[in-house]
Amino acid sequence: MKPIIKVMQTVLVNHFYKLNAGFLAFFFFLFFGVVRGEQLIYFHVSLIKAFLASPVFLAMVIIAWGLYTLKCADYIIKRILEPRQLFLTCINRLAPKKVWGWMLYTHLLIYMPVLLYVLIALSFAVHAHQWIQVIIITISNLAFIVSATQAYFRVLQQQSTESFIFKLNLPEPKFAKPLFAFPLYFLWHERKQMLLITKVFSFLVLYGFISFYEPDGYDIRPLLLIFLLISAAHMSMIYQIRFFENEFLLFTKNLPITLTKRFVQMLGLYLVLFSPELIYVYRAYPLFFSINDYPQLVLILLSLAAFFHSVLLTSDMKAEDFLKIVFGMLAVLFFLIFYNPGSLLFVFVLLIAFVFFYGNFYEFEKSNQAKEVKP
Amino acid sequence: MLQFEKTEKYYGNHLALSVPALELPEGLHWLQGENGSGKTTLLKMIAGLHPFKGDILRDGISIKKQRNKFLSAVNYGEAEPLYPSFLTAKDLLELYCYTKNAAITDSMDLLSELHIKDAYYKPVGTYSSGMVKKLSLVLAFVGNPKLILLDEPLITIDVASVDLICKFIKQKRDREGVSFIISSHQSFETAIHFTSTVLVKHQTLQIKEL
Repeated sequence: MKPIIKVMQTVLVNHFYKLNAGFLAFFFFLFFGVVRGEQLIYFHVSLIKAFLASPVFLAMVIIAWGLYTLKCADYIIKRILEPRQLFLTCINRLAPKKVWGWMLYTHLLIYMPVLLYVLIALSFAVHAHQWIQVIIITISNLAFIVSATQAYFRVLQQQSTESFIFKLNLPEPKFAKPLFAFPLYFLWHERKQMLLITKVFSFLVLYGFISFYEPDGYDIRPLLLIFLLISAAHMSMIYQIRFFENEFLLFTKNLPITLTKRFVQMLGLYLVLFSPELIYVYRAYPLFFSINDYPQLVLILLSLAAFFHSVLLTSDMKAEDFLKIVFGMLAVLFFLIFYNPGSLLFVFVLLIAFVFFYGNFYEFEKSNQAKEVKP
Repeated sequence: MLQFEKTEKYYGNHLALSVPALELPEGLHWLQGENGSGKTTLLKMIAGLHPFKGDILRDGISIKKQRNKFLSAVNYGEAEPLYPSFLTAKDLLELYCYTKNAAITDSMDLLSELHIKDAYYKPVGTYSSGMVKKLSLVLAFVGNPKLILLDEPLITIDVASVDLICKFIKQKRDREGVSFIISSHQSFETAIHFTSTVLVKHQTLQIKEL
């Protein structure tokens, strides 16, 4: 293996899959784990034929691919700009064409889950002589791949996102900043792309569900599963919030604030973070949920976010272990929701989150602190 | 008075600090020790930032059992303070004053004397390292603490501010009876008369009265 391939895979590709394993595993489970074996191929063939036949559906699928591209670009750019990854600039000593080629190679590796599905869809479109769809899918994906690669190339060469195409300047809220909202300001300032992509994804999932799903009768469970998916999509953001707390909010441990109040503040943080979804979901009323079931929707988002946040307070938590817990929790809830357990299930999850939070908040210590004084 | 009861701090399997039993009387204490000896670790333990085994009590109040009561009277100024870059001095001062039950106006004079009042509404990300350090010192004096822990308070700040900080420490001690534990590699010369030196050596503490 060439040294550059090894570096790119270790530093950029493997880390991307580690960080997003929960998110990707959930999608894999949704697309390949839910449908029974013998119906799996039929399900996917129907799905592909459906979006090839409907321009609106195809547009939504392409937007979803575009969002995944933005997610990849956001990750790679932030990773390249990390001070610890500064050594990557040594690749710039190669000819620019080669550098571009390596960045393309890197992007293709992290774009692989989408690319495989795109190639299968293209083969169906060619087989059915749907040439317009072939052109649209090919051009859109080429545009995504080339623009992402070009962005990495520029960032690697300039070590800056100046004049970068994804740069966003969001307005600065002027009101007073309460402690619970500090992580929201962090997302607003430092993780704009991630915030935007996740929220657009949430909106598209909810919009698609409300617009296209036709229930036979009243059933809260499909909407709960959609909210489970939205929770999974916010996983990276929760991870970033914990990173921010570890790096910049350690001083708040010196402030006399009770643990219960800190826990309530965390719930307040996630209530604000999920408020766009919780407001937008009113479009689904009364067909998909009744007012009596609305607390369930709030609770599923809050309890899961609180649970994952609290799990990340465990000192020795490795990324792999965390992802196992995330995936396990999502899988268990996925099946339990089918039995329509009601709000009690999410109250129970919230209770577990509180126990984790209570036991670990003051005991948590960044793992690199252990190395500071070691002989 | 600060009491240590079977206090142990481990980093992984490595014992960084062990204080089986020790009483530190009120006063001005100069914390000394080599780089990496555990001075910052000790201060962070007392400030509630680091978990540890055993207990630390201030006037009989345990940090483990009555954490909020303990921390209401213990303030901490870090050696290299790190605040979110988007927060302003106003945001931080309001947070500290709210949680420490103090009036913001009480801190305004010190902000003004340290010449950071002009940057009161500006994000901390626009501050120089010296300004961030001065802000952290202002925050360490917020409220009515009984004990203030200062980790290298004199680094990165200008000479005029050093004199001012020393004067303020003396005032707090003489007028309000506040105790201090100050770690510093720099000498305070005659600016501050310490009650004792606390030496961190061989993973434990040794007190020497002056």
